[in-house]
Amino acid sequence: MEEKRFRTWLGPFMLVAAMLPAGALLETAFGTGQWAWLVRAYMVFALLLLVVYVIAVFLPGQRVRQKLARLENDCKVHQDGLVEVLTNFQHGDLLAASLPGVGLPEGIAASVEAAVRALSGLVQQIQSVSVEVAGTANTVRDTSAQLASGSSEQAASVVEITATMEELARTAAQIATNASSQADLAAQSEAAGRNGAEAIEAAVTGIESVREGMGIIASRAEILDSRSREIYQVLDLITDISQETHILSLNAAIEASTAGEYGERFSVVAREVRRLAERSRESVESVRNILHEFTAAIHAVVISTEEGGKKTDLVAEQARATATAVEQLSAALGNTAQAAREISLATQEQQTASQEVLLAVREESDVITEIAEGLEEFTGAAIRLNQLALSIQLLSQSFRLESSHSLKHLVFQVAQSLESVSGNLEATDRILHGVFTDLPYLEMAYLVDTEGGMVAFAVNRDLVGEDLEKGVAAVGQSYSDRPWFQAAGRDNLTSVTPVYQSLLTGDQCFSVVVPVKRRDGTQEATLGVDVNVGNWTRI
Amino acid sequence: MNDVQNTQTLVVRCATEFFLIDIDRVRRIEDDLAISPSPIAARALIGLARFGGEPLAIFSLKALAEGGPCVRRERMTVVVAEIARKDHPVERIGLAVDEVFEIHPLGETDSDEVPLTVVSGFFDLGGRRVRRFNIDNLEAGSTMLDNAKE
Repeated sequence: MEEKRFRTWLGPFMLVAAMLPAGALLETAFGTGQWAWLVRAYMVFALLLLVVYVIAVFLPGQRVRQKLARLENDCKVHQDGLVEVLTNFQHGDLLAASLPGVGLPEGIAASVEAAVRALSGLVQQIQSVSVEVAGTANTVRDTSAQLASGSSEQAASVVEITATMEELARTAAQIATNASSQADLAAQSEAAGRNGAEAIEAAVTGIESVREGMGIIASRAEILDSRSREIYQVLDLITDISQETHILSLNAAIEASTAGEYGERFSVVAREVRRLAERSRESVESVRNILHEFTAAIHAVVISTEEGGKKTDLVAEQARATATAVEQLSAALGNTAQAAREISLATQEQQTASQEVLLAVREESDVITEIAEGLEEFTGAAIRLNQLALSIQLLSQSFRLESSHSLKHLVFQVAQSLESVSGNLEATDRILHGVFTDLPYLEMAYLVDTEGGMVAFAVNRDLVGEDLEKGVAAVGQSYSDRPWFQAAGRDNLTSVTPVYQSLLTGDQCFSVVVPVKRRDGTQEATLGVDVNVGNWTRI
Repeated sequence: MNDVQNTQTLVVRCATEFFLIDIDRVRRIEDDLAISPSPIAARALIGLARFGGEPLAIFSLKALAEGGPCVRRERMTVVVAEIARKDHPVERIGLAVDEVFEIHPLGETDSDEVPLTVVSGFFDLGGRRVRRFNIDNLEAGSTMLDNAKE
């Protein structure tokens, strides 16, 4: 300040210091003579000018400079205030930015506060909308994936249907060909049936004539049989006669024996008569045997004729039944031929229809394939949309504001509770485990000291499960090389990491890191939480 | 033996048995003779027939020869024979047979003759085994005859 004042008055002093020697010099040079009054006038004028300068220029200027200095100071304060607000804006800490700006003019502070409020509201809306968008994007992605999968399956089904329809069309064509052949065969069978019926009719006629002939034979055989019976009667008569003759001859021999020598000749006659009777009996017997054979033959003929007649009747009946059956068969064949022709026509129509259906199925297959491809592209777009939604969410999470959707603020509150239990590991552990109740989408919460060593951590078993791989997290493990730790320690700011793959769950996740401060404002530790993207976006 | 061999006999059949009857004991052969059943239930008696205007007792030769029941028919072939018993007049009886064959001389016997038997042993008659029916020895059954005639 003194230096400034010295420099301020240095100018006028230098003017005076310059004028006085100059005046003295001029007085010396021109002090006597006619120019002495001019020099004195000049000196007086210069002094007057100097006074006027000081009064009119220097002193006002001095006041202006003082005012400018004050303005500059105020501007610097305002600038610092604005810088602090803008820095908070830069880091997204809208809560800090909404605090009354130190040194800011009232109007600017009010405008900043209004702007922060408007921005907070906007960000809050963006956060809430981004959550909805992410959820909707998830739904769209899932639905499109299902649709794409369904369409792929449908396309595969249509391909199978197409193949089946092609097989059906080939089968229909083959059936049509077979039906046509069957129709031809049926027509041939019908003609053969008619010929067969005629032949059977002729056979029946022949059988009838055969039966008539057999009847004639039977009647004649009966005549022969009656004649043979008459012959038997004659033979019986002859037998009786021969028997009587035999008895007579015996009686004659007996009488001859009683007659003595006179009966010798008579006994000879008796003997001859007896022989004659014997011969007669033998002849009769022979005739009887022959007649018996003849009669047996006649009987056999009669029996055969009767049996033949019965068989003929049976055959005739069977032939008539066959003729009837053949007529029925012929009629049936005619109907079959007609049906076969109709089937042939129908199968040809079926073949045509199958071809048309096949064409339609192929067209549908192409359409479904296009739909499937479109759905796959839509699924890809949905995935990209999901990623964009996630990016928007993460972008919105760059701001800390008083909202249940603001992760920075939520984690900041946890850090504040940790500040209150500084040094109490049991309470720290309890707080870390308790965060999963309000924030179930967190995979893990951990506290790291200023050197990067893990002090405490808690794992959400509902997300991670019971098995925790060794090396993923452990007390004492160093995280000093992690970018999030370095950012928190360097800038003393809450930060959000990019999305990465979680070692705990294998899902997408990101971390929110907040410095934990002591009562005096220095950083004591760093609080970090791992957010599971899938579960976070569903909330 | 020569007498035996020269004896003429009548060969008859009763059922399956063949018998020889001495021809000199045979008076007549009646074929299909009508027989009236006898009211007397005598052994071997079949009935009575009319022969020569007189009744003739008809016996079954088989039953007389072997015993047992006799076959009774209304008409049978009957050999009218005469029995010459000692102290008895000649009696005629009818012997019912199934068939009368021939008159044949008596052949050699292959068994001993047993006297006073109605039926003798077997004779060989042209390859046929026959037995001789001794009508005269029917005296052993005279009671039967007497009973039959009463």
